[in-house]
Amino acid sequence: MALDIPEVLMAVAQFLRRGELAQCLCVCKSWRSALLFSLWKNMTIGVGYNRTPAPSPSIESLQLHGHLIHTLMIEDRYPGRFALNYPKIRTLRLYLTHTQIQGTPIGTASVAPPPPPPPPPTTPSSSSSSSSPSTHEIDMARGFWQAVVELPHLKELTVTDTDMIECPEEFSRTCAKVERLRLFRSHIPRTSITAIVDHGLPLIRELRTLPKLGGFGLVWTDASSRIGCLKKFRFPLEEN
Amino acid sequence: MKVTLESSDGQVFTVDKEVAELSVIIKEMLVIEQANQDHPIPLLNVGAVELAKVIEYCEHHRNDPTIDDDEDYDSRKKPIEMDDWDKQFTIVNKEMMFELILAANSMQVKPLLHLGCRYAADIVKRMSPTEIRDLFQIDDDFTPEEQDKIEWEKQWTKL
Repeated sequence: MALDIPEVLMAVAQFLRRGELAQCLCVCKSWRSALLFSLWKNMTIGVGYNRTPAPSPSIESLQLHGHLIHTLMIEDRYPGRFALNYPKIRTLRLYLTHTQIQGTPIGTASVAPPPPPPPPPTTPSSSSSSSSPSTHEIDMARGFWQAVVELPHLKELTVTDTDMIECPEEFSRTCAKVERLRLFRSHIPRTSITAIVDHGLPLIRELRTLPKLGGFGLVWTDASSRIGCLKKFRFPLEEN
Repeated sequence: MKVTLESSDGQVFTVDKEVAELSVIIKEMLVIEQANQDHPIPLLNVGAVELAKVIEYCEHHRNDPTIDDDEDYDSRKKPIEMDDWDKQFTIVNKEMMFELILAANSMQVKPLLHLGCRYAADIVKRMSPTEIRDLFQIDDDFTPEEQDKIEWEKQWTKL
């Protein structure tokens, strides 16, 4: 029977949606082993707001199958909640991860930095609606990006509707590692842009940004010679 | 230029080389055995009925652009559009279609395999695991404990 062949079953899987795939996983062991990767390779986790909540697997399931994930989309204010081991991840997309990047970062436990010290008592109560992030938040964001830099197979980074906290060094090192970089409707601090320009994008094949990146275009234009071998280079003109 | 193909039950078909070359396997064989064209190419896993149908498909699609099948990490591939002819082609019974999938897989006729898999997906997506097992005569080999674990694990896919 045709569907006894794992490759055929995997080819069938590309036409199935997640719930349908999950049904098929329950058929028998050989179907399960052939289809598990199809279910997990592209994973969206977290609960993005302003969107239909994306149903997420439990943390236990993620721990069990995180090694199958190739593309991970995090739609959540606190991506650190999903801090697990994703050794094969190639594409990381962050959506709606506004302002606070909290919790332990994505990546292996060994890569994750120790939890940051509690904010000193002199710091006014942090993380509440202030436009400038606290040192605590900066440490968290830094830890997050430090872990992302260590992901060995990362090739694409997409950041959408996200407020980036200043951690120029870690963020720009991540950018220097990827082949595709997409920055959409996100606030990228000027220091981070400068750091990206300094590090360059030696591997870049595709770079896209969407507007609302005030001043960003000029910086890139100036540094275009250091961006590297761009095969696709789309850049919106400054609108002002 | 013509090539001859022989089905598993010994029937010989003569087709244009470019038609036969929609099969990756045959294309590769023709490269290797350029000089030796006296014997038909044996297709040990494909019966005459299925081979005739595969050839019918290849004849119709002989001028299609080849699909670039590179496993690009950006897997947002455009699905291949089914034209009316394809739709007509897939109006066969399930058994025939699954035999065709097997044939397309063993001959590596990629667009036909794609078409067949889409057909198969349309069938299984409407079925429960039990119905799938019945259709394909598969034994449920999970222990009750494993079954529980799977049920629990897939809760999140239901939303």
